[in-house]
Amino acid sequence: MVNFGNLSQVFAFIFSLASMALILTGLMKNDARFLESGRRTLYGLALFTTLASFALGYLFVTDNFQVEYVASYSDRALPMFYKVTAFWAGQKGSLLFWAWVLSIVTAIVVRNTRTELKSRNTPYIYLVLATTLSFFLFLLTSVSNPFDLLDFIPRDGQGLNPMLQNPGMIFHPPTLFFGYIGFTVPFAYAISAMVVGRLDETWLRKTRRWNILSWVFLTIGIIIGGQWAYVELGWGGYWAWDPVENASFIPWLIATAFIHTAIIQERRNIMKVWNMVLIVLTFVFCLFGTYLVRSGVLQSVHDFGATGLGGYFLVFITVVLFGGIYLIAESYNDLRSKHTLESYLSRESTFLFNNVLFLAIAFSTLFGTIFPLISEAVTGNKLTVSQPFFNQVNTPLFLILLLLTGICPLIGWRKASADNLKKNFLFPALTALAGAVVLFIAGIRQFYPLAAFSLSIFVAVTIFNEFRGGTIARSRMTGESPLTAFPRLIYRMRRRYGGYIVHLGLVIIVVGITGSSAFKLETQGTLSKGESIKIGAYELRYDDFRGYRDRNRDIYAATLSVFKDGKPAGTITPERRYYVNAEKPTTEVSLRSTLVEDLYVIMPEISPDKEITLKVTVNPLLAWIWIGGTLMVLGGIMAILPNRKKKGAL
Amino acid sequence: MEWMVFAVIASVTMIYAFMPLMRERRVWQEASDGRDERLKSLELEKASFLKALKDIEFEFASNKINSDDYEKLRNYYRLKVAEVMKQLGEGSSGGGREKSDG
Repeated sequence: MVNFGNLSQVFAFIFSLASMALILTGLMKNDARFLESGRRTLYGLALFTTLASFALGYLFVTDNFQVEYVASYSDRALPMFYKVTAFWAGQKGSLLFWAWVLSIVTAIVVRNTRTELKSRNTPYIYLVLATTLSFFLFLLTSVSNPFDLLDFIPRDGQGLNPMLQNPGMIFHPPTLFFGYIGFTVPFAYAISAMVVGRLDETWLRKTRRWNILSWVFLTIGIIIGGQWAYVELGWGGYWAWDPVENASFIPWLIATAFIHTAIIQERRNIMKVWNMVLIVLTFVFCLFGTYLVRSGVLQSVHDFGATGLGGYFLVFITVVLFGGIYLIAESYNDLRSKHTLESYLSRESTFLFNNVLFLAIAFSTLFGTIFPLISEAVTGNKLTVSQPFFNQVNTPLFLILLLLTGICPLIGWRKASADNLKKNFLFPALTALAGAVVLFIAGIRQFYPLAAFSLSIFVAVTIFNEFRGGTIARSRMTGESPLTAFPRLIYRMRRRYGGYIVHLGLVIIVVGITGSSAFKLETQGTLSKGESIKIGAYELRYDDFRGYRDRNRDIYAATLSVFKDGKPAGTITPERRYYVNAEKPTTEVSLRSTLVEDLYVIMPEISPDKEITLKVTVNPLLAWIWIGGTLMVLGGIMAILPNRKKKGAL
Repeated sequence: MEWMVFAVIASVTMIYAFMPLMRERRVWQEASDGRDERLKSLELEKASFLKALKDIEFEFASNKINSDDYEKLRNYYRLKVAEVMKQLGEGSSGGGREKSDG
């Protein structure tokens, strides 16, 4: 199976080169046969990457430790479930996964455009996709081959890092990869539009679903990553502005900006240059995200499989970035819009402001992330900026962005009148003000939490008003009863209302982040059996201790009774785990999660006489982050649900 | 066995992929006077103006624009739709299907 995998990978690389050569020949000779052959070669490529991926999966499942990659990330004791996910635990497997998914995505694009081969854009779209695939397959076949063999057959593998033995491993890396990879499609369409000079919004319309789907996957990946960090890393938080976290967040921010301005171009035929810049940047930062995880240039909690692929990535990123800039410069005169903003008091202009903010946050995050590299280049010392830098710079920007999220729906497209704006603004603003007064009286006096909660109220009310106002408007226009008009409105205008659901999810996340960061409680203590530790309204009593073996790990668990306001509230059992083949033990978080707050307990130490050291955290409103994240994803999915009726009234 | 299976798969895939090269030469893009592209662009413009009209109706019904702006914008976009439709009528009466058989 090693040879089978190896050959499949080599054939995939050959097919990617063949596809590029055939398409280029077809374009140069104006010969449809070569283009058709180049198109079919891309299907073949998808087949060979699929075979290579199944071969690697088979080698993991059958414990073939002569394969260096399998020996590095698996062992005999590893549960089957994690043997499969070990596929993408290291650099080599991740690259194969990238190539596999991208080849499938490419095959889908080829299938969807099978009737459009005579369109001038289509061959260039294939060419960009084939070139990107060639890059990854080149790395796989020459620099980072997952089928490389050891000179000997080890009796067992080194096992999977215990931190990766978490259900998050099934979803977090693949969803992030799907997100990164998905943006290759709009990038390919954009490049092809610039090459052939068809710069109208056709490329945006055709890639709208890819944009949002990729954004949805990126969102899922980031949210699951936060959840995984929360339950696995044991420091009580979910986001540490770690370089690799940032590397996924930056393309997410730019992609979010792009999705907003793409709407404007589709509706108003303006901001064409801006959209080209944004899609090139989104793709560049998707590559940068992959590069950062795999290069090892920055210290990160994600340094599971970093090796020296950085140089290759850097060259490819540079080519993409400068190639993109060159094409935009070349097409600049044609991209400049004939139309302009009709009024600064319009939804278009709020979208423009939100773009500026998204990019400001993205670039401040980028600056903080690569600051160690900049400082090393300038001073010779690697200086890092930590959480306070990111929080201080980004929090005010996020709050302004939140305000715009509320203002945006109040303003109509093209031109809003000041009178109508005042009318629409009054109720949400007064409600937010009243909320701020109540919160102030209730004891919330810090500026940022007070501002964040008040703005959240403001945005939530505007969204509610949008649903209410839209239903009334539809009722008035169609004569339907509100009960009929409401679901029909949401179904018919699901792009708009899906967007509002995403915004509502964002509001809920802001509430969760504010509550859990501004009002967090922490304590630490060492307990003997029968002793208690107090935190806020909670008291935890150490009742029992036991050790046992479970699959590939020895587990030591303490049982603690929880009392809230003196009343029993169940038990929790923090654990310490000793994994087979792991150098250090790990702490397993015990969590009691409610909508109001999370009680988060870890056990960093156990003494020989079974005294335990506990670190206890109370995170108010933290569960709201996961709820808000889910809502954002659902809103995104709703926005791309296919049309059954193409020409609806509303 | 492994080699055999791979050889069969690879052969079939290569035949499938390179088969078109065995056929007679076909021109991919005939020279075009750009009429088709212009018509497509006008169609898109028309769709965009119609969408704008629909938006304006909804924005007015949702109290986001006042009646003066509503009237002005509605008239403006109606005029635009009429202009584009006139150009489309002229464009399509000149014929011009793209002659390519790729």
